[in-house]
Amino acid sequence: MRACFCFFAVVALTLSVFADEIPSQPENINVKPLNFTPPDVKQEKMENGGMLFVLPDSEAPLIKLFIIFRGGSMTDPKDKLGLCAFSVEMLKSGGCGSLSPEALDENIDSLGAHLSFSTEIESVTISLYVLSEEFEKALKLLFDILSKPRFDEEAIKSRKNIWLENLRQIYEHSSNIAGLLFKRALYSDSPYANPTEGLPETVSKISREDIVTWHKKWIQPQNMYIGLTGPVTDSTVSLVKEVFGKWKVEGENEKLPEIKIEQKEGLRIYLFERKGLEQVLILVGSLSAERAHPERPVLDALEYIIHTRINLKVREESGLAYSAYATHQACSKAGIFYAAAQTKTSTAVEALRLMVEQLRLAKTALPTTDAIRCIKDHFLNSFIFRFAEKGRLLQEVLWLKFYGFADDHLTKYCDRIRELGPDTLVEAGGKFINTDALTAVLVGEVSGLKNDLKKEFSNAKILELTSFDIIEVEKKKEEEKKGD
Amino acid sequence: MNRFYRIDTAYNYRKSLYEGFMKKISLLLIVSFIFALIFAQEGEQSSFIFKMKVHEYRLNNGLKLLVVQRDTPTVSCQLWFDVGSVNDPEGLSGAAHLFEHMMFKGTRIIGTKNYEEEKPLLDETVRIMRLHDSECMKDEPDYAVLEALKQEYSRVVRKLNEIQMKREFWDILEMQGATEINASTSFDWTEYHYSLPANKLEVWAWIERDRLKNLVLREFYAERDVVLEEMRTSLFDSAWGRVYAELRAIAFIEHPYRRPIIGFRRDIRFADPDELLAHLKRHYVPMNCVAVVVGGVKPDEVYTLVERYFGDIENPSEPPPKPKAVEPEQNSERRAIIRAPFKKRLILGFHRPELTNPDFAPLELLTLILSYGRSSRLYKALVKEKKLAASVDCWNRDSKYPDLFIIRALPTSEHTNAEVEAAVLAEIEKVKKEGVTASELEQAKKKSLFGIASALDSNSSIAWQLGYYQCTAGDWRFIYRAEENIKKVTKEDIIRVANKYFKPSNMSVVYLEESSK
Repeated sequence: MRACFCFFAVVALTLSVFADEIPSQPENINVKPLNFTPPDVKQEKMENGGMLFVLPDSEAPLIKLFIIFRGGSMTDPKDKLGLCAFSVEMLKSGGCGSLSPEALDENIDSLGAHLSFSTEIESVTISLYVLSEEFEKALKLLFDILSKPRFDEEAIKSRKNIWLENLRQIYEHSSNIAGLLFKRALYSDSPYANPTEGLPETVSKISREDIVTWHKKWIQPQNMYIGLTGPVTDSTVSLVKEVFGKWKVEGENEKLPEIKIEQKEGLRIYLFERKGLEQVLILVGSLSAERAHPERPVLDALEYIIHTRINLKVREESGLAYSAYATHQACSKAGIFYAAAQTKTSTAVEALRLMVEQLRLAKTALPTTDAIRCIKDHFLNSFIFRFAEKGRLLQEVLWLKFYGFADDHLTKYCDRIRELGPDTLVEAGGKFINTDALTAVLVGEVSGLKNDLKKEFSNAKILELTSFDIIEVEKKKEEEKKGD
Repeated sequence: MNRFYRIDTAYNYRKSLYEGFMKKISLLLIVSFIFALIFAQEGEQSSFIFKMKVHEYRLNNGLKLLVVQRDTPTVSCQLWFDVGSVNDPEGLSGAAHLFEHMMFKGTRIIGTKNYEEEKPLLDETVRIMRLHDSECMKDEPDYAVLEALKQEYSRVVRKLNEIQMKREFWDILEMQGATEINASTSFDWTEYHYSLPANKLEVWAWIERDRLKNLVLREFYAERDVVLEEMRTSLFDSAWGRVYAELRAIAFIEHPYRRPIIGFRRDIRFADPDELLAHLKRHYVPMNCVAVVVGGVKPDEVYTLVERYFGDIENPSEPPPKPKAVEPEQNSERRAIIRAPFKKRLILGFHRPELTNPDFAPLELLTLILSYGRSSRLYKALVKEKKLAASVDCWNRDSKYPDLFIIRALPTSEHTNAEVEAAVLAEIEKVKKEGVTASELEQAKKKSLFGIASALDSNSSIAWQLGYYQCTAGDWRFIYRAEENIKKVTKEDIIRVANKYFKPSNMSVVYLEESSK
């Protein structure tokens, strides 16, 4: 009996050793299937037209409320750029209802919560993160901020001075300078090129009346998407509906401005001198597809492969930059596909050469079978992260709805990825990156680079800028040419 | 692009695994024995905020494992090391950070078609670049020699490019669906993290075991250049980067907190791979490591997996050395002015104690009373009332060793750094003399507890908090203690710490003045 037991013990031990053997490669790891059904996000249209999205998350420590309004910096008048962002700032700073600006500051601080307001090109977003016991108070205060702003004249004056000081700081950063120039070079004078925070000369012109009018137009319930997650109960949802659902509609739905963008042909290089810096920030790219393009999964895959190639060439192989990447940034009617890197002045031309080369190769260099496999596995296996955390899932659904993606966008996404082949991606390279109309912006000590740039890119138009007014500079340049 | 892994080149390693079969049997017996001995503790303290159950294990080699089971289909995996820039050797400042970069370059198995063939070429690059570096260090380097060495180096790199499989490390992880693949280095710790679908946890164990056992400092010289570029971005071309580095340089004389985490330029420029490897062998060892796993996993299964993959990793004979330097007490005010092409700004630093010191919580609340929100004291006085500054804030980094309480501000165009400094000090004097109100203190406590709660809303943020406190405070349970300490703070504590630390003799100040264009 004892011998028998020993025999089985030895067999069991031996088998367990084999079972415990560490695989020679990670691909040999035995992976069990993952069963997961994403929870449903409840959607409801309130009587006033506002949309409410709810996904309870009992594990979360905080209630999170997001509100998105259509609008954003694209609605700014040309002579008052920054109006939307500054008005949003004044919602928080100008008092509301019976609260003076000072009292509003104190009320916000007393919540011990996170309340932030942000302006993007096409939207205004408010995020409120708060402990459950403070939620009702915070919600009612937020409603007053949005629906009963006072926009006190004195507060506007005071806040404008701070805003102007902050603008000076914003535009000393190469990334902000380059970002604005790049938008202006590609989106020309369309509203997508508006600088979100405005410019000192345009913000100075904003009056209280402008802010009041802006508020009446854009901060309206029918224009609102609310997302609610965290440890919320039915009564929390009822409270939100009671407070925000009763917000009365005033006026008509405002129309967003029309978008017309003129594409400029050829390679254009804009140089902006910023003395005393060791590095040059480089952005290079072209106009591309809109955000909710039906082929968005293919565009995402293209972004992944071009990013990988640029990172490999500029960073890994050459050590030219810490951050070197490619990405696609889009609005509702158009987008930009671009590469970016920051490198020391002496290697800026070489880095730009590598980036342009990789962008141009997008429409000819077929990805290998292994690369296609890598892209597919990456997208399909990481897809679950879009649903895994409830807070993130709620935001995903909210934004997809807000941006007008097809209802089946997520359900069809994986199917489209599964269909990818080398040809699809090369076609996408030709379709989503216009290599015949590339624009580059270089910010840093760039004045000494002109000759090297001319040598490297003999057909490029090189323009030196001293202000953000690209259109004006281009006009002058054209006139000079005609004069010659 | 070099994509995907082969099977045959790993032959030697597989073979060595089979050769170690007998060794494994004995190891298994030992492991079984240890299994009976290990303790699995669970976090049971009560907390208003942190309600999750933390399962704690320690392997025989000292590696600590913390696991939190959550209802998600994903898992966040983090490896924390109790080694940061404070442990960098003299002459190799930035070692922990440079090493962090090198951890993504592959191993003897990952990132190469044939390591046996690659190794001599890697050694050759080191030989050439040592000659190159020593020539560069000369007062008058011979540029012809440098150019010849550069050419020679490029020739070897071209050969290496045919053998190496660049980005294979990333490809493997991304193909498994990993997201947020990254790492970070602080003064006090280094951590490596990513998230995976929950059924892929073993991939993490495989990858991390391989990195710890078989790391190869591949593409070392290109990555040295990458770090120099990162230094330009974060230190030299960043206004706050310059000011902050200067503050540390004058406030600390002996303690390694005086050095930038990223290192001094010369140290990185001439960093040597063998010195870095020696650093690795001393510090990146099980007894210095905390593995944190949070997500849709079963704690005991995670333990079994971690034991299987990490249990045989050995510690060096000597325990990892700890920094010996203690910062002497500052006995007079220190000042510096730097001129740079940025708008003027200033920073003030007061020496204060480490995270686990009882004075830390009142100081933490002071940062909130002084500068969190628009009704905070400094914001109200400097920005809203006197209109001296466009922004002002302060912070008190959770530090393992005594560090600085920092206040920084951006003066408006019409006002000077000196005016802003005077106004900051005047507000501090008020706190020293009059203290703070009960409602200010209550609000600050609420904000602080909110801060703790807001950092616990995802797998990765929960894992981060556990690893962070384990490495900074020496115990992850400091999450509870931090909450208790905050709740206990009284108005008297605030006056006491303000008077104890906010003294001119304990202060260092840096002004940045805009250089002429």
